[in-house]
Amino acid sequence: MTLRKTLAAFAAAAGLFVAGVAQAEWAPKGNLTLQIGFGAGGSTDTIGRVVAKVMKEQTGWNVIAENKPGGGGVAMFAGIANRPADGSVVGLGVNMPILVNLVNKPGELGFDLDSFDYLGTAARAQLGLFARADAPFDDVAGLIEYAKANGAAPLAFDAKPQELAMRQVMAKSGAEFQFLSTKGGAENLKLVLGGQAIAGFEAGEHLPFLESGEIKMIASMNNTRHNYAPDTPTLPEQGYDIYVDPVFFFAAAKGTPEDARMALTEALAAALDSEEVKTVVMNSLKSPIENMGPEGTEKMLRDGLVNVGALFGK
Amino acid sequence: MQAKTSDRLLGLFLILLGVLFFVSIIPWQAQAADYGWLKPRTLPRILAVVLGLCGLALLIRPPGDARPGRFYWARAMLFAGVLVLGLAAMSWLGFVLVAPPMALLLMWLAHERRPLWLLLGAAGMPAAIWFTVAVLLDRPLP
Amino acid sequence: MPELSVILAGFGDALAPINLLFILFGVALGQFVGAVPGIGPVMATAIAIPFTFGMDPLTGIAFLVGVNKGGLVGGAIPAVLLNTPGTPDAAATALDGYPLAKQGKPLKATKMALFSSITGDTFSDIVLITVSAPMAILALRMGPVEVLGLMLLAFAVIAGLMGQSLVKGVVAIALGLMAAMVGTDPEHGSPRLIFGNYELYDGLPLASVAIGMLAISELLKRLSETRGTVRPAITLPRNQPRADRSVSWAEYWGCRFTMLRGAVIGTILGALPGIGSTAAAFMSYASARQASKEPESFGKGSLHGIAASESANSSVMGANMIPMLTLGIPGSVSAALIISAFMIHGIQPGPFLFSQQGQLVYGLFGAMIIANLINLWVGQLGLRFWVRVVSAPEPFIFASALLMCFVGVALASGGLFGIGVMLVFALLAYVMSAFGISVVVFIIAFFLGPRLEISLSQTLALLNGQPQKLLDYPFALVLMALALVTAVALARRRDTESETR
Repeated sequence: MTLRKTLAAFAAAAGLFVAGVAQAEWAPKGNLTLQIGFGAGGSTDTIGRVVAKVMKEQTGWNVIAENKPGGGGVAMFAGIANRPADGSVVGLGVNMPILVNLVNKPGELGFDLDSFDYLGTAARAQLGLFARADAPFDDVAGLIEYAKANGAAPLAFDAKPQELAMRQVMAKSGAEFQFLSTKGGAENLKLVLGGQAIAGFEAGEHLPFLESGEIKMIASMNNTRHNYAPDTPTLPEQGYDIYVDPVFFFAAAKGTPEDARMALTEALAAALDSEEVKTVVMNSLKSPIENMGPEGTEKMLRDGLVNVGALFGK
Repeated sequence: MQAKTSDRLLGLFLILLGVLFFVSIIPWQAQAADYGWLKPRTLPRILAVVLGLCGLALLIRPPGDARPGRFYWARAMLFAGVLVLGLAAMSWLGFVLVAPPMALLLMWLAHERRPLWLLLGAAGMPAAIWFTVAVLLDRPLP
Repeated sequence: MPELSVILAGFGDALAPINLLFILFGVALGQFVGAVPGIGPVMATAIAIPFTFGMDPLTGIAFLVGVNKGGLVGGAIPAVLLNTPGTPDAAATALDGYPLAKQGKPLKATKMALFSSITGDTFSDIVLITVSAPMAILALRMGPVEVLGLMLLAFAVIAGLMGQSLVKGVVAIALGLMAAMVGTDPEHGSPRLIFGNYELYDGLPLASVAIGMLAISELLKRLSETRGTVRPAITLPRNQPRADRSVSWAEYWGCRFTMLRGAVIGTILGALPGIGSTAAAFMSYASARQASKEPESFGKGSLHGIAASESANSSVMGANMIPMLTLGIPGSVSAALIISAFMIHGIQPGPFLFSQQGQLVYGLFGAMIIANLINLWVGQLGLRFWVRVVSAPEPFIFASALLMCFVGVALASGGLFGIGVMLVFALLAYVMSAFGISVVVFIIAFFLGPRLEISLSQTLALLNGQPQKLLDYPFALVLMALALVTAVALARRRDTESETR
């Protein structure tokens, strides 16, 4: 261990002490489990693990990161909604799959937006539609033309909202898409690079390949352009008034005691504010940390439910 | 029980299982979809049909290669019962309290009587597991 | 390819004392944890990740690689000594390893497993180090239709493997696939066959099903067979001749083609994300039996059987790193966990990894080779230890193994629910084996099921209702035809076998 690292370790230990004093009122009995609503190796996983690591260093709590994949976070949140609200489990998920499921299958999920106490958000994911660099089009209009010329165009997606958005494009433009359902952004990328899908959705895994020039961006699926690609217009800008705005958020079971909720909110905010979390999130998502706080998170989800309902015609 | 008889019973059971899945369980536990190539019910329904057809084949031409009568069912179910009870007790009392008596009971039923081995299995092993998982790894025991 | 100086610097880094120390520590930990019933390499890696946060990137990743490789060797030990594999890929090793151990040659059986495991592992590491770029391109060419063809071929080969009745083999596959249908469906993401249990959204917990069916049901069976006199779990004859304690060079060299075949199968399947080591181990085992001059010796303690399975399942891991390092696509859960460790250390796998982090990558390669050597050395010591442990009385060993399975499954699947699932599937496996339905075939179908369904879904989407489009995928057609030929040949051979019996 170098001297610099030793010093850093001492600094972390000192920080632990200070944080311990500041939040002396509440600490988890035993472990604090940070559940991650997706499998290992993706962007949510990276955020969850680095936040768990920094939180552990800052608070001294034994924070354990645990993958709980299934249904884009639905499995994990259903589990959290149905467990005792003792502040020992925090979930990290993405709003879009939750909202789309709540809109399309209300009452079937074992939870709704009232089932949780919201603790904060981590960042906004920049979701985009990408194609291989040698594809004969550069925008959505070109993709539609290509699909019409070839009978249909195969698209790789890994979450329901992406498919539903493109079904709207399909209905409006009259082009036909073939939807290849995959297990994640990495598999979408594989299908695009391998030429089996003509375009696919990516929210982070693709960045090195964009830099190396092997893929190109067709559209931003958010309602804003991506900070790393300011020249690529969004889907609404390209004439289709539909977008998805994935946000990574933290929540615990409804009815978590006031002191536990405060302590968890503060601990998360402190971790998100650290240089280490900022750097890792910037590296893997190219998005800055954006913590909306408990009220902001709840408002974002409630507004989102209305928007998603309108977008998907419910 | 004759091997061919047991195969026929198995065949009958599989036919019933296939029909039950096709008619009742799959419509109840898998959603219908109005578009897509591989709908949620497609593959389960195919499997239910395959199970039913295999059941029919066993009924007509039982291979007679298995002899369930040669298994010690009563003793196996006795040990399984201990495990199920152990699980139920763990959900109530936790691993640390349940593991020693469970291990002791299992060893006793398997005819172990030597005190040293009984002690090693009922106290030593649970303690070693507790130390490794709860102390070294800091993970919760069931 | 980076400059030679970068490569040498990387290999040099791997030889730094701190890295050697952590590789040794990782291998020893992985072997030990992997050998404990109920805990496999994936669990060991998941638990080890947080410990790497404070380390340098190379040290941390070398440690994880050590844990993983140690776990692969360790996983074969309970399979061979107790017939209680913790993962389905080790179940193929148990087919011949356990009979050999029961004949009083546990050291010989475990040593053969160790040697062939390290042979396969080293083979795939060399492929990774030398030709990962072309292999990655090959992996990209294998689209959904080709993967579907490969899955069908795997099913055809494996179905020919087990039991005596063809119909019962199909029953095992259908039941295993039905169990794989539990959870969200791939196209619509709607919950299926979960009966209101939100824990099942992501499917039945893999560890619970594997350990319940393979380990617990075997322990129940063995416990039910205990009689008044207490025996040791494995008998180690005194003054055993050397030939029964060790594997001679001639015996090892005699298995060279079997191991090479296994390593090639494992490396190819490992380079394709998502298929995994189970299919590799069983395909290698089945083809070794096909190629053997004495197929009837398989299942009775054949060294070739052990060599085929272990060389294949261990070579998958090195090959998993090919799509992982070059494309950032994890080929397995272990590989996904290692990627997440990369990301935490601020390293992004992908096209720039070799040019920007060349020294680190070659350091990792060096660490992999060193880990193999250490694995061989630690394994020799560890085997003696475990064989000694397992010569304790049966009741003690079985009760302890049951406790460990309880804890291991609770850790892997998050609590008592996972243990409950494990017990249900243990009972199912007991009943199935009583009626002659292969538990191993069920497990293979269960593990391959989700990938089969998603490749089928992707293939149908690509065909878009026009079957003639299949002609655009000649290689997939070849694989499918091969699957059909294999299935028909095996069914025919079995018919003639059952008539002559």
